[in-house]
Amino acid sequence: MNVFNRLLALVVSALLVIVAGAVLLVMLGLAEPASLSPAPWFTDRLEDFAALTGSDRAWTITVAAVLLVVGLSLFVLELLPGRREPPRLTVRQDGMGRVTVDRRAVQDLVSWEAAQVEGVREVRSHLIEGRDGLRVHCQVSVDPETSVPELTDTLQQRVKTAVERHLGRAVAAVQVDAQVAPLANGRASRVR
Amino acid sequence: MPEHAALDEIVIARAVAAAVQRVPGVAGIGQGRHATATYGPNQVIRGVGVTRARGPLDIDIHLTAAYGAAVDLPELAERVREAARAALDDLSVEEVGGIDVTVEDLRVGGEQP
Repeated sequence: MNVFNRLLALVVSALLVIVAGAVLLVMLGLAEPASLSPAPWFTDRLEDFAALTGSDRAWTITVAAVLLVVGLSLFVLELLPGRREPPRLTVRQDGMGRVTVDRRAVQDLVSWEAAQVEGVREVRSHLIEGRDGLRVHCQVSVDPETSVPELTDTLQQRVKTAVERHLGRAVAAVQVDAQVAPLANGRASRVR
Repeated sequence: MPEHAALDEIVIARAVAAAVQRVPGVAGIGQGRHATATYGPNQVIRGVGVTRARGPLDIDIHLTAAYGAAVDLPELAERVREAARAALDDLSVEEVGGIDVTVEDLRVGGEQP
C-alpha cells in the first residue's frame, strides 16, 4: 500500500473509532452528547442515537461496537510496520564485515537482463528471499508477435544466470508473467 | 566529539575513498540512493562512513559497481575491502571493527542497468 492509501486508511479508521466510540458512550449513558460534540450538528446526531429504544437501541449498540472494533483493528494494523522486504540483500558476511547489495539495484539488474530478451517491451521485477534462494518475479509486456513460451524460457534462464553469476546467490525460481498490454503504472522499465 | 577525532575520521575516510575508487569495477562511491558520508571541518567524504560506535573503527562503504558480463559482486566487494584495509594499514589504523560494503547501484557504460 502506498503512503497516500495508508494515510487515507488511517484517517478513515480514526474517524470510525471516534464516531462509533461517541455513539457507544452516549447510548450506554457514559457521556452526554453535548460533552462529546465538536459541533452542534454532531450533537443533534448523537441525541438522535440517545433517543433510540428497544431493539433499535440494541442493534445500534451492536453495530457501533463492531465498527469500533473494526476501526481500532484497522488503525493498529496500519500503524504496524508490516512485513516489508529488507532494503538490501546480504551476499557475504564474515569476520571482516558484511557485503550487501541494494534490493533496487538487483531489481534493476533483473529488469535490464530481462529487457535484453527479444520481444520484451517493458519489465517490472520484484525479489523475495526464500529459504531455498532468491525468488525473482518478472512482469513483462511483450510484442504481440512473440512466442511467449520461448520468451519466458529465455528470460528465466538469462535472469537466473545473471543473478547467480553477479550476486553469487542461488536463484530458486524465476516467475514470469507476460502480457501484451502495457504494464500498469508503477516502477516499470520501458525498453522498446 | 573532540575536533582531533573528527579530523582523524575524515582523514581515514578520504584515504579509504581514494583507495576504493581505484579498484577496477568500482564506477563510483557515494552516488547511490542512500546517504553515507563522513563529515569533518568544512569537508564531507561521501560514500564512506567512519564511526567509532563500538570502540574500534567501523567502515561503511557505499559504491556503484560497473555492470558487465564478468562482474562478480562478492569478489568486487572483497577487492574493495582489501583496498580499504590496505589504506587503513598505510595510516597505521589498527583497531578496525568491520568493513561493510554496500553495492547501491549498478552502471552499464554510462547508465544504470
